[in-house]
Amino acid sequence: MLGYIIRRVLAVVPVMVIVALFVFLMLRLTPGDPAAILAGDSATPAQLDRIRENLGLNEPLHTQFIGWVTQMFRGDLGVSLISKTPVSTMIGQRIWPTLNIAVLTITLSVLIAIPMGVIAAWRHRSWVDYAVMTFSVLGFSVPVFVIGYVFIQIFAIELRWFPVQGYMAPSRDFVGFLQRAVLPAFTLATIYVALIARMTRASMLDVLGEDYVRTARAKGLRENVVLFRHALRNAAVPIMTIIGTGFALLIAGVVVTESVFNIPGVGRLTVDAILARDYPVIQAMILLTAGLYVLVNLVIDISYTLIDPRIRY
Amino acid sequence: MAHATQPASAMQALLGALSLPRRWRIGAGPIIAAVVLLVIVLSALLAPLYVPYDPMQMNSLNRLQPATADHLLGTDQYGRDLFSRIMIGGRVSLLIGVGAAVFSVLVGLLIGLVSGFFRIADAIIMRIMDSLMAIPAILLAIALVALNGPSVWSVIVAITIPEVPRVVRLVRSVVLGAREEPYVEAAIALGSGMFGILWKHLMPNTLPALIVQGTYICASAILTEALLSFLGAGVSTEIPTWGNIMAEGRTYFQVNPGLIFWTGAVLSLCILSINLLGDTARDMLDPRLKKREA
Amino acid sequence: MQFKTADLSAAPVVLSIRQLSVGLSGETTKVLDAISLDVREGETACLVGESGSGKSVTSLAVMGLLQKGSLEVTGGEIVLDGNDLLRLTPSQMRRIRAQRIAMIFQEPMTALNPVMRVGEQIAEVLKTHTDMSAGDCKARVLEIMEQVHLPEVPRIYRSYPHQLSGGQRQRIMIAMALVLEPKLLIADEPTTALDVTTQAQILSLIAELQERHGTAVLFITHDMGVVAEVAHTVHVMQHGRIVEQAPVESLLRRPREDYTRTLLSSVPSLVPRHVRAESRQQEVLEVRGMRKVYGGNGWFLRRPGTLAARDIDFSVVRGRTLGIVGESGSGKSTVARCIMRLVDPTEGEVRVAGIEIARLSRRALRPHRKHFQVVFQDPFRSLNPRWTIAMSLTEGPLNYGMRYSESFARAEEMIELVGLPRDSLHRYPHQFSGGQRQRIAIARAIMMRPDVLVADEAVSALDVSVQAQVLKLLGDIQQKLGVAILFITHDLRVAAQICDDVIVMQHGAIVEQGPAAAVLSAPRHEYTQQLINAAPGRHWDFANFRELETA
Repeated sequence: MLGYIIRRVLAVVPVMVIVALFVFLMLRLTPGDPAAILAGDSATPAQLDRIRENLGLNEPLHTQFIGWVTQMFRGDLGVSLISKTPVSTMIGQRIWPTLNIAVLTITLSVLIAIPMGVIAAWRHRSWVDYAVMTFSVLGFSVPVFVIGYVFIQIFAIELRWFPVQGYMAPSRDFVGFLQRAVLPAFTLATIYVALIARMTRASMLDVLGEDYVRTARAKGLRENVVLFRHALRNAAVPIMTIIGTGFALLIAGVVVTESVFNIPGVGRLTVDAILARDYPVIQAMILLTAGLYVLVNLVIDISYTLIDPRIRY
Repeated sequence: MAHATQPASAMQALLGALSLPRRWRIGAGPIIAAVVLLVIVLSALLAPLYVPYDPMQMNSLNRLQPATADHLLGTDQYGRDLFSRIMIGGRVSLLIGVGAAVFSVLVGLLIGLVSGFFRIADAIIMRIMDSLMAIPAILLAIALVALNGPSVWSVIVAITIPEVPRVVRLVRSVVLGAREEPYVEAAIALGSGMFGILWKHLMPNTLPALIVQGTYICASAILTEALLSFLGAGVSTEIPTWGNIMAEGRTYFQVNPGLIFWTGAVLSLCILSINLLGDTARDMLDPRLKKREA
Repeated sequence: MQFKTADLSAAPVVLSIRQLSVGLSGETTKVLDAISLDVREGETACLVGESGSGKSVTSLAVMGLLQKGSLEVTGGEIVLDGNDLLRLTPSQMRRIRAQRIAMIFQEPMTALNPVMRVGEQIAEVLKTHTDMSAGDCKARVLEIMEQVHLPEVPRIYRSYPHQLSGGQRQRIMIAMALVLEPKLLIADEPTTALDVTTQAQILSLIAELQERHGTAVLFITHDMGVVAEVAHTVHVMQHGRIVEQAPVESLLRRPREDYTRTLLSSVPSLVPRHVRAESRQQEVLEVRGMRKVYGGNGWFLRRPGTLAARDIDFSVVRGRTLGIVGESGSGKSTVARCIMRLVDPTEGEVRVAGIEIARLSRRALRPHRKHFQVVFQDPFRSLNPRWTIAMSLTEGPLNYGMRYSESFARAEEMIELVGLPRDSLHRYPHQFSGGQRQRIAIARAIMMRPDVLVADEAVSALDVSVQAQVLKLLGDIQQKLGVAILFITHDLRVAAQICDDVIVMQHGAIVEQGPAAAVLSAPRHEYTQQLINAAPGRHWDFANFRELETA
């Protein structure tokens, strides 16, 4: 078991190295002078020289890479080209709104999606099943921001249940936070629920055809015990996997949703950075989100051992 | 239970060749989806022949109009006709969808076959693919477009690259599964070479899954194009695409929500149809489901 | 042969099935057509039939576990202790299960929940149906686990299914079924997935527990040997009907129906077939000192590999058949795969038609592959489902540069040789039955005119009547083409019917080797003796409806 965990953790290393290499090379290998890209169109030759000097662009690539990685490891994510503040500070200021809404979204999604999927599989080919499947296909098919605007139009503009846009820290006013967070969270949750419900249904359908489910029924167990104690636990591994890989979709959703609802989180920070070509911020955000994604999936991988005793190596 | 009968028609012979189940039950849903998709694709392709206005034609007297008899779906902030823009915009959006699907499937198939069949290459390829998957697709695409400029090609490439790892994994898993099949071992015993087996036995096995995956990628690419444009990192704003039309509608959302809703509706309908067709194809091609029906 | 003869006519009827019909949902096809049978207290009633005869459907119908939406009862009644089970509500039916009727299934690995400790799986039955305290539950579970003769009961209580052997898992299933002492036990092929020695133990365990509790047993099997061992009465099924019902001895001695006769005549005899003259022909397959170790090189730590086969020495001459017999894990399939070079032997020599192939690189081996061909076990996976039969058959000759027209002509010849019409060549595998596909696989192998044909459990997945035909086909082909056959099987009866010589393997090594007649009728090694003693129905000559005449 410990061996399995150690090996999973070690496997993260090459992945992160390649991600870092990719992010690093992205800027260096694109046609054109990175210094010119970094400095913007109006830079003088002297400014360009200074930037080259500062970034060590005159040194060989591998030296640059190692220097850059060590710098990142020390927590120094560089300095924004626009605001001239350290990227780590900028992210520190904007991370909380994003995290709060993300946690709300994930909780909501899992609580809604898993029962949906289980019931759809249990009542395979009934109207419930078709309703769940329709919802999940719809969830994949409508762009996140369109969902956001539909919600705004209905619940904020027509019904006036919630404010149109904005954010409130839960520590300042929890009710105010919830009022402003409900629409973004449901917007974000739509696609995530669609994804998880679909996988739960598929995985449960597989498991419900297994012999041990028949055995459980032959033991005279109640249907809810059969479904939730016997079947769901066996169906859990693919469901957790999709929660992990779907995390990438969630990140994409965060970036868009924060723009729609005008939430001052890291998603907005990223979009603003992209529009302003603020490369240090873009690089840092890609690296961080990739790191987070890898971490989430590592935790999920390790938690498989708790669910399935057969995974022991 | 398969009945050993003569194929009664060309259709049945074709089904036999694809080893599909005989009973081909298609509900109304997929047929409607196919019709809707066909209408959308045809109206986009033929748009230049029938749209009432030049989609680029500005008219400052007619800005942000709601739907009228003159302007079927209203106008945007420059007074351009929304209906014409949506129909014309579909051309680029669909091109991006199909382009990304074709490229990711081709590239993924090639890499996946190599990865599934050659152990040494596999270890390296899969690490690279894991890394690519770790970078959220949308950020990767944004970064790529930001670096390569806002051309249609650049957007297709930016959407394709993050999709490739998923195709590779799919192909690889099918190949790894099929490699262990007795009929592949029998082929080895019959003296077939590695490439022969790869090409004649393993590659055809991946096709059903690839067709399904291709439709999903096409749908998700159209969606991603919209997101990219929405975030300001898509195709240059001079070219109308569904994403661009909605992105420009953002600022004027409270004045004329139709810019986002009408365009979003057409786009969602299109993606919905593609996804439904993909699901139908999967249900028919998925051997596990087939087993359960038998 | 000691049959069960107890007179049970006075015992109360526990289960009575009357005119039971089951159909596919929404269609008129009948899966079960008005079957009737009784099972009395203390009686073992065997339902016997080939695949698709409806025997498993019968058992699931009794349990009320027919797959919803695909199968449904269309008529008749299932009476247990005076109650018609078909009229019960779902919650009443749930109370009947495990308390009054329990069931054990074919595959103990998949029938147990893999993520739950086995002790808890048994305790769950008690918790659902009784008010026992947690402590009492556990005590009762440990007690029933003792009763099914599991070793180290407290440790096994905490184990997961994958940590147990196949026999132990089936004991857990039996414990789970009997913990509430039901009146009726349904056993659906309970020993089919087990090795023959384990099978013998499980059969005697079921008999022991039945005797102790007076349970009625409905025993479903395809194996006439098992029937002879366990049954009081036998119900022979075919195409969803019961064609013959009789006490076991009269059924085996005096079968009335043609179908029963065919079924019994197809059971291969344990007595080795007549000895063929030792031919003085050259050896076409020769294995010397072969050894195979799986794994053994990790990236970080050097782990000991698994020794799958060692000290393998044998040879086969043209026109004769050598059988390799053993239970699962004995290494018999490893030997076959090494010879086919689907895996590479770790040590030793393999000579086919005089060429040493164990050390050749895959590429250098290819020109020699035509000399040795293989037929696999699973008829549903051994042909490419997307290829016509003609494509599958001509693949090999085309690889060796034969022209298509020529190889197609040979394919026509070979497909007729294996007893299928020529137009089969234009069809796809899914249009054929299991036995037909196995014929096609044989045709594909002999297309290459091999010197050696390796048959790896080639008839194990087939029904007995089909099995008999395929065995006969292999014999005919050998006669016509003079090919040497290496026949891998777990089934002593099959080995006795086709092999000239036999090798018995255990734990990766050969324990006994010699002419089939000698090894199977006068085994010297203890393990061979065990194997033969464990073969069910070994004193009965099924094909001739009488006791075996022991020499």
